[in-house]
Amino acid sequence: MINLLPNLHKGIILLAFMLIATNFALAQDRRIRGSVHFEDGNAAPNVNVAVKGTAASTSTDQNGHYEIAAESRAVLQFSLVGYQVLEVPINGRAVVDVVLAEQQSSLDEVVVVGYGAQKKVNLSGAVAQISGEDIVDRPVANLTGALQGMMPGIAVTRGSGKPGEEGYNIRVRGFSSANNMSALVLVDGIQMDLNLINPEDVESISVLKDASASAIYGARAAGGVILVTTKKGKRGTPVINYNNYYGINIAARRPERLDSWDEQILINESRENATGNPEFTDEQIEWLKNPNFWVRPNPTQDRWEYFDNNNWIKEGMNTYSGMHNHNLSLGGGGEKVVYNVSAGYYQRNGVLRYGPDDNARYTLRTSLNAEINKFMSLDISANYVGSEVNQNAYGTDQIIDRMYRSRTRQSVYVPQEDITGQPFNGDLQVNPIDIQKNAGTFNQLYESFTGRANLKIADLVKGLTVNLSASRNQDYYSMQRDRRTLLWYGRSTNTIRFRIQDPNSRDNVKNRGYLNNAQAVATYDFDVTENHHFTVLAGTSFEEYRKDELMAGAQSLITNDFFSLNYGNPATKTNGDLVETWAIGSYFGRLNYNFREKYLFEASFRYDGSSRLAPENRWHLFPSFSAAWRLDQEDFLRENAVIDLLKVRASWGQLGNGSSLGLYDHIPLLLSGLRENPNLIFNDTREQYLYQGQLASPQKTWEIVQQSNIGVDMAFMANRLSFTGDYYVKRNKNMLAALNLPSVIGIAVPYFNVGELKSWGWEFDMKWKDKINSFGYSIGFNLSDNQNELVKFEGRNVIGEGVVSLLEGFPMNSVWGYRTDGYFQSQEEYEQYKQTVSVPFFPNNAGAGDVRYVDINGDGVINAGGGTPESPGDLINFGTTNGRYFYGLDLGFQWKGFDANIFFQGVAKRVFVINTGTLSPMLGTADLPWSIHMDRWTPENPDAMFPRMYQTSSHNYRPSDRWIQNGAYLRLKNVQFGYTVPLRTKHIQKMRVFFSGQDLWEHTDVMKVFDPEVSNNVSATTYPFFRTVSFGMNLTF
Amino acid sequence: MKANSNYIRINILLALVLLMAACSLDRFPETEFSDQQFWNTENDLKFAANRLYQQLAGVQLDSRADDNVNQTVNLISNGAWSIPSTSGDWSGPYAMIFTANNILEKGQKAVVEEAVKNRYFAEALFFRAYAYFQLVQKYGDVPLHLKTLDFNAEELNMPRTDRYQIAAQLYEDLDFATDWLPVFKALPAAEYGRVTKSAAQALKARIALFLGTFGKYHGIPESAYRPHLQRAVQSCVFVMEEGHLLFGDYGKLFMHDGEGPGNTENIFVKIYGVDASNVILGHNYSRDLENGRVAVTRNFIRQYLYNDGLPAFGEKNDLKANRSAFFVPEDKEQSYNTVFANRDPRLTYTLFQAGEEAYKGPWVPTTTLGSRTAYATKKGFSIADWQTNGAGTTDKILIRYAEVLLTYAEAKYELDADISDADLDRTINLLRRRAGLDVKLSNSFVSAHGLNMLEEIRRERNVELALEGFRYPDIIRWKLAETVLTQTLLGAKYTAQEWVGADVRNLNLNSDEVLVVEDKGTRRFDPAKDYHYPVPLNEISLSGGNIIQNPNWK
Repeated sequence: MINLLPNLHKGIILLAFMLIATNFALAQDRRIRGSVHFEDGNAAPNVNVAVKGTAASTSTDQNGHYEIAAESRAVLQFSLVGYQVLEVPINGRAVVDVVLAEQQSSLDEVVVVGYGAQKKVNLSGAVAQISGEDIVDRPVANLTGALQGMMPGIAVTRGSGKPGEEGYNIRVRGFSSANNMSALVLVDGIQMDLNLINPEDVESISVLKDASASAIYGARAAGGVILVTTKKGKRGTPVINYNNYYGINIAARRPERLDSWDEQILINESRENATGNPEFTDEQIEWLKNPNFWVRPNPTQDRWEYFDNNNWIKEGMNTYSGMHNHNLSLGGGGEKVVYNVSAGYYQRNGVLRYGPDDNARYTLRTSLNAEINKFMSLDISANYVGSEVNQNAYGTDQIIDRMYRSRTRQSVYVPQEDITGQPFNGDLQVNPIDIQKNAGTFNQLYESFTGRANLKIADLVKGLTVNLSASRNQDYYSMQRDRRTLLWYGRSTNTIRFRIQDPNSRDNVKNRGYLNNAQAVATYDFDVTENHHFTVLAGTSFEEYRKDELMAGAQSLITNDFFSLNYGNPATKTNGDLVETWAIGSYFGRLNYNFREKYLFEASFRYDGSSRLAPENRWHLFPSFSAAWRLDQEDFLRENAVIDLLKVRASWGQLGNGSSLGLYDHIPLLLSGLRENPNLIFNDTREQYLYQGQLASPQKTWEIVQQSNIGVDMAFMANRLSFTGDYYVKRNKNMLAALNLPSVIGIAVPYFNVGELKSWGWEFDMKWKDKINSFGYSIGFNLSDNQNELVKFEGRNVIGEGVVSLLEGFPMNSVWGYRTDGYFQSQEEYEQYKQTVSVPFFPNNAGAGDVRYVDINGDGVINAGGGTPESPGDLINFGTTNGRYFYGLDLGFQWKGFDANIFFQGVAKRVFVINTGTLSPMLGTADLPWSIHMDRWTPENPDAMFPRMYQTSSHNYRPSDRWIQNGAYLRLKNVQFGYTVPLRTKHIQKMRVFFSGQDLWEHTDVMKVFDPEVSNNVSATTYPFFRTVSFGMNLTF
Repeated sequence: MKANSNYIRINILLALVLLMAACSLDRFPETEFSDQQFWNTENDLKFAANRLYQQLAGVQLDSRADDNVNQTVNLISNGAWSIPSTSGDWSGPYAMIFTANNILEKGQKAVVEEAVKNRYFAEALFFRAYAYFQLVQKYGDVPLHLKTLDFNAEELNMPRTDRYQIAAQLYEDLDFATDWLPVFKALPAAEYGRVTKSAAQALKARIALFLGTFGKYHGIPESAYRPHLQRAVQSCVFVMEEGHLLFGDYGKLFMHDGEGPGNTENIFVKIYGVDASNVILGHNYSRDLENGRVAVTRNFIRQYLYNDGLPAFGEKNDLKANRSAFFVPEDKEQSYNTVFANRDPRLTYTLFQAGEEAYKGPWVPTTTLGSRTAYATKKGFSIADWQTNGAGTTDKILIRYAEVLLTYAEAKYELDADISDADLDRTINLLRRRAGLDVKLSNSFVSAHGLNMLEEIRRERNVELALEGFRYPDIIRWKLAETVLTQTLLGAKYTAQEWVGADVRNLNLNSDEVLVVEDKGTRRFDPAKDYHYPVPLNEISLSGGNIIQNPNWK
């Protein structure tokens, strides 16, 4: 291996040196003044004015005025994002006034593609790109969240609102595999976690969607490739940007608690219905309603008895919580050297009222580009990301669970007469408020340092560019969990009602990992006669990863208030280590040919080898081809005044997916019991045991996804209207899947290449952009659909109630349930039903108020039949939890200093199932009803939402048309109003203040206590989602 | 210029090739052991066999029968069960069977003495038999796999093997195990918990008794079931000659006092430990008792004898015409504690009486803590275990000598419809004497009081092994389930003065003021179907239909 990379220190020293270097000013020349205007006559502020060929530059002020020193023969360069660069020779003048023309919109746009960039009009593959500006100032947790709905075919889903663990998932063009197929995210060429990138650092994001665009990334590209390019410095005087916002998160659409007496009425009903006995008498229920009588000594036990009305959610969960974000950047440079430094800080608090529930992220990015000589230039970047997630040691989810499962008649505090010294009541259940405050902490810190150097050698031979780059991403993870013992007494310390985390303990995990990447890419541009333009690219890369982890724990520390492994009981100490390694080597190449920019052709390949596979299956070639025809370049359209661009394109290629390959699956491994689950004891000591966790699979190889795509790109009316549309078919020909084998095998079965998944869809993106005098507006709409079908699955086909993930002949995650026909309104009605239909899962005293299931197949019994799609019994297919018809609608307005952006996002078709334990009150003895359950069947309320209350039986809540949720929604994802304050100061070039709101409104049929974006099998105790309002400021100096 | 550019191109190409050539793609696990390197030494065999002990289930709550109830209705007990898609009852034992088969195959490679190798093979065979018996008890016939299967093995689709054919294999395996396992007296204290000759033969006796009596009462010919009963007797005799002794105190047997090699009544235990400050493996049994998860029913209490050695109820929960003089009719019970009066002392070791120091103070009859019968279980309760949630460390007894004695008596009687007083003296009467019940069971006592010897042997088993997981398989093999499971489950007697704080309006009482736990209207048992567990649906569909469902399940 070549020696890798200057490290961070070296990068910083170099950077400092270059910063000094740029301050060497040139010899003083004449002062040139002037003003810059837009075509509409308004003054153009913030326009960069540079003297071509020198380091001198300045910017126009608020009124469009500038002043700069230059020689009389020099050429001035005026540039502003979104406008054509204007070059004006001074020709001896003292005043140079210019008018900036808007950029020929997208026609000149350059798109970042694999190992290079191409003019968008010349692309023959499907690539979507957005600019960093499109996603800033949104109060979202991370970059992935900001991408939701922005691009067609890119579906972003999220799992919860928990700070630092929002569970964002990004899926390019739907499912291509039953396995976790994630998009390959490359940030300036280095594989990274999208969630850890500061949105403010993003210059552009390209998503390579079809096989031709992404095949150059071979074995890891089947889930799509996301190329993030970060901001680089620009020549000219240093520009300082400071952006911030403060946001308020508002917990919304979450299940609510009942008053204690209502809760008790429902508990009573559920017990009476199930067992014939209520829990409380009417008198006791009256006590609950009496605010002056909330506690009494238990007459027979050393306990208190509480009759309070305590809403645990109100006590322990904030409705409002805060977040803020700050970003400071400095960029600039001279003729030979440009630099950019950006520092960001993001912090967000969660819903738990006490104790840690937050996430903070720190980012620092530095980049430097230096031209060494005529042929060589060097890019260096050094970056840091730190993310800390702080939680309660008891677990945030467990605390929320407790807040939904503690009786409302239980008080937070004990009565004054309590003599135990405890402030908190933990008589009937553990006290989640006490836990929030006192159960200890669980802190995780993740830090990543990245250094990269790229040496570019250009034009040694005309048209030949060679890029040699090396990078190292070094990361560090540290976790510590300090569990304090808590206990709750009865009326005296003789009675301990509950205790948790006893004995107390500390657990530590620390790991250090690195990812080295070395690559060399050569690009050769040449023409054969003036009509035939060729670009040939060839390259090789090698990546290797190693993570080295140590974990240790100890219990029974000598105090509850000081946590260190040094003070644990030696007999309880545990430790272990874990090393994970992989390596991947690749050769790749691409050929582009275009004939007068009219006929475009591209071929690319990648040949990948991975350490994860057995040597005999290690290498595979991934090819792709694409072609496009630009009709607008043909003579019959060239003179056309309406059509600016009309291009049809088609592509075919093969991509690999290896995200579900384990590290050493081809080798049968023995696991250490002491490491996995140290629970074997002989002779009063922990004893080792060794076992095979799963069968080995030497024959396993990549999943190969073949994808065909046809598309059209159009632009009309001076590029004001643009349209891009695509249709594609993907076929995962040897999908990895766990064989569904009879359990007689007795051991976990690894994944084999046994499946075939077909997936197809279409997507389009339309934009209209225009300006009426000083009023500019834009409308963008994108819509995409994706469907899939498991064509072949050698595991067997089995269905059951609920979600079936893999089923031959069906889409993934199909939902199966019963058909229902209201409730039995009387016992007679049920007795009559029972004559012909038996419901095996009904309790023996089923009757009025229970759900009437429909015996679809008429066999006299409600069941899953043979448990196969051919013999589904009474189950019917309700569709799939995979969403269809994802869309985004974006409206933008600018008028003078005002700007507004309104962005809707939605999914038009989706179903999902709610966790049965949540739907069914009192399914377990610790479960409780929520506010939604008040609308339950009683003889007086025959059309209720919920059936009669019934303890510990889910017979009314089997997946059925009654409960399967229509997960379609339309949501006001983001709304932004900004105002650029007209400032007349030299020190501040631009100041914009803005309001931004996220998830403020939605329309959906989902049960009102759940967010429509929740994942399947959501439970009441899922961490709630937020609506967010924020205010912020962008300042440029 | 031309030559120069070629030179550069060649150099670049060379550099690239070198770059790649220097990089190997081989990566090997550094913190996990490869199976191929293993299976050489005695330690290797032992660590592999240890997995079996780790997979072994220990404390389990079992309210499938009529002897106790959990906080909520048990769907097997009340007959409202249905066919599941998958079930740990089926897949769990096969995971243990894989471990055993894997040892038997790969352990061949080990370079150790034959006796050492065979000792660990014997452990594997013991656990394989243990696992198959779990399956046979529930499902009847199941596929018999004696080697590990690869993912593409045709045997994965094997149909079910006849249970008596499986039994033949298990008997043979357990005899091999008996040959190579140590005698319990020779087992070093540090190895306490590992299986011995006694464990192998006691397990064999258990299997043989189950199949022999199941066969007899579910209609297989006498010539087919008799050999099983004979085997049961032989195995019991083997164990009885090994020198086990009953532990002195019936109550303390199930607490920490009964743990360790000093108590030779314990033949096979699942070890828990060490203590609350260092929980290597813990359970929650004492808390489960407090929370009414093993609440004894009155139906079961009725089985206990009175001090005069006479019962009041028969095994079908029927009030006997000729009953003990100590019997107090339920409507006449003056107190919650009346049922304890003049009773086999094992009842007071099994339940707390009102006013007795129980979980957190004197027991006050109530249903609000979770016990639906208002009875509070004492057997197995340890205040030390109760202190911390999940930190119970009392070992779980899986096979004890008392069971062997009871099996001997029952198998003897089932074979010949006769048992000698001498045999009763060395079995049942030993247990009675240990418990402090001073009336001997003898042929003359039975005939003098018009009792049924078989019923009394079974009664002894019910009482001695109460709440140890035997009741359900026993009523299955005795074919009593349709009789006893369809009756109303009853709880304690309500008396206002003792049920302090209870509100009678919240209680469902019958005309005798006895708590009705589950009314017979809510209970059913279909003898054509419920004597076997339903095979999980997935196992049938995944076998390509070769596995067929048990009768009448749909």
